[in-house]
Amino acid sequence: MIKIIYKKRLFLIFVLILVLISLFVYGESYTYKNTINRYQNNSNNTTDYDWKNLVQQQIDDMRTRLDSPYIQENSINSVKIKIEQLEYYIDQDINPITPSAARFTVQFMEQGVYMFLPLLIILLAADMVSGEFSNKTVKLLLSRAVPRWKILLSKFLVLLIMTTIVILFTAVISIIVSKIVFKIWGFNEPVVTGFKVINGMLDSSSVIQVTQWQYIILIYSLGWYVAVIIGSISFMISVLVRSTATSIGIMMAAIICGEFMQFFLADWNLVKYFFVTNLNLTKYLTGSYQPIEGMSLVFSIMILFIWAIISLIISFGVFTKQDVLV
Amino acid sequence: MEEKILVLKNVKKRINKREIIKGISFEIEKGDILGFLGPNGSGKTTTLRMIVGLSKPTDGEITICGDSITRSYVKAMTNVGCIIEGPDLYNYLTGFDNLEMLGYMNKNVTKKDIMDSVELLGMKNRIHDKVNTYSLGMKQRLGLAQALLHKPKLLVLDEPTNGLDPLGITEFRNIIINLAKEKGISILISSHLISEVQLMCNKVSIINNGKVLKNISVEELVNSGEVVWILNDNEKGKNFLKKRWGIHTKIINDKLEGNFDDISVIENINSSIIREGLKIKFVERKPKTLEELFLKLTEGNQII
Repeated sequence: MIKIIYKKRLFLIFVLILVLISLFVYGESYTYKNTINRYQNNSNNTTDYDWKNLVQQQIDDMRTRLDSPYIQENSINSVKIKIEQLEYYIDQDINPITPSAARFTVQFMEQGVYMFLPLLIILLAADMVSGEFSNKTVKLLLSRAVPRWKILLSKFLVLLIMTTIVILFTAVISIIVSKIVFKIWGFNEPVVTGFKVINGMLDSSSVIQVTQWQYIILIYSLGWYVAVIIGSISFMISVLVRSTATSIGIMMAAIICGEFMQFFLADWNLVKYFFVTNLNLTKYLTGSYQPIEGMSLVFSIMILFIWAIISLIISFGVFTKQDVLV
Repeated sequence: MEEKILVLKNVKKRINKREIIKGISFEIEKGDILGFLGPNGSGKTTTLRMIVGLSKPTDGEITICGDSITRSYVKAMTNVGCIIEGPDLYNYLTGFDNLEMLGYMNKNVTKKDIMDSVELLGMKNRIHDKVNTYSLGMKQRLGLAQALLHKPKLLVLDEPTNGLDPLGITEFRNIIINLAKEKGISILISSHLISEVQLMCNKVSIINNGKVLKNISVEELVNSGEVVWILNDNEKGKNFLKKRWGIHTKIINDKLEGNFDDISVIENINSSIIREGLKIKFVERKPKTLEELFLKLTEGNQII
């Protein structure tokens, strides 16, 4: 049964893969050029590429910013923490700058997890149920000798499988493409994670060093988690509105609104219970991130989990009860 | 006693506080073709939707082969195949893929079953083409193939000939009649075309405004006591019939039309006409069409 619905979605996946590849290629070459440019501008030194100098330069830049009178109150802390992090890198002799396949792969997911990835998943999930309604094929499925919850469950499983494929594909493509361009694997480089902010000070006592390999797996698991949550929510919308365009629209609007709310309504405590505000899971790992007072990695994971469970309950409730009038 | 395939008992459906179906009851026996006749908006499609499980009745009971669709849904549905409001299939798949995919959803549907139903509907040559290259007639057949995959005992067709050309309708009708005759499948066809129902069905249920107006067999419907003669001298014939048989007749154009209760004496009447020296050019039992009956029954129909 699962195979069934799978088959027709393959077309969609192909399209998505194409989109992904083209975006990747463009994105990575752009970052690559940027890194080189920045380095050359800053150091006036094109031959000797010493990352420690570069990092030091960044630290100096940030210090100047801190001294500037125009700096915003609330960004002082995060800049301070950034500086301390960079200093830690220099102390530990860990290179945070030179691009490598592994680093790019991580960065891509870090950047994509709260915007790009959700949008892809929405495209996939929004069509799952409403698509059947808009081309009226839902009646073929529902007039079979299969209980409705089974049909919806198989749809949801397909969504999970496709989400996994998308995540894996993202990883594989970014590894391959960035390897071609940067020519460095860098999978065994150490990564530090587990910085903690205690009273505005960076606490490096709980820092753990992992290799890039492990870090990639960690980041992509978080990405997968986010994708599944977004998938479940769009799945519900898809069941509720019965039109693909509308359900994509609603989800996109929710995501974009959420981003805005995060910036403008950060004082409003309710905002932190909105799912979009909690999407940026990977950023917690760098330690300096706390979009709204009281949010943490565990908090966000719990909130997202609750959202997904509620969405699924609503989806199944509505889908098994409703009259199909197409 | 014959096997009851489908039984509806006082089925009601309310949507947004408006009662759309106000208590419908009818039965289908094995091998029956029941025409479900009613004007647009009379509740045909709503009723059929309830039978195939797309929506749930607010009241009443629907049983298919003895299984209630509310209590043992899956068991009841294994015996039903349907096309509701046109054959909507996955356009970007081939006909075969469509069937294969839907076949997965039923237990025990093998490749052979699929090919059998394809062959039955005579679409072997085109089955591996994409559905969006099919004509409406082809889609309709594919829809039928899909409905027949799991060898149901009841076939529910909602206005199956909508949009087909006359040739397509004839083909379709033959397929349906064959199915009922050879495979013993009971068929429920909804339609607003009376002629169509008359040609295909052996029973008719006429509904309007969410109520069944009449459950009746087609033969009963058609058998009326009207006879039409064309004689070489209609005037003389008229007088003769009145004198000899006490039958009042009317002359309409070149026809002599009479109405009497016992149609079985028609042979005696005809031979007496000949003995009288008149010549019969033509004689026919005037078919009372569903059309007339339908109009009579739905007279004063208003959409409330």
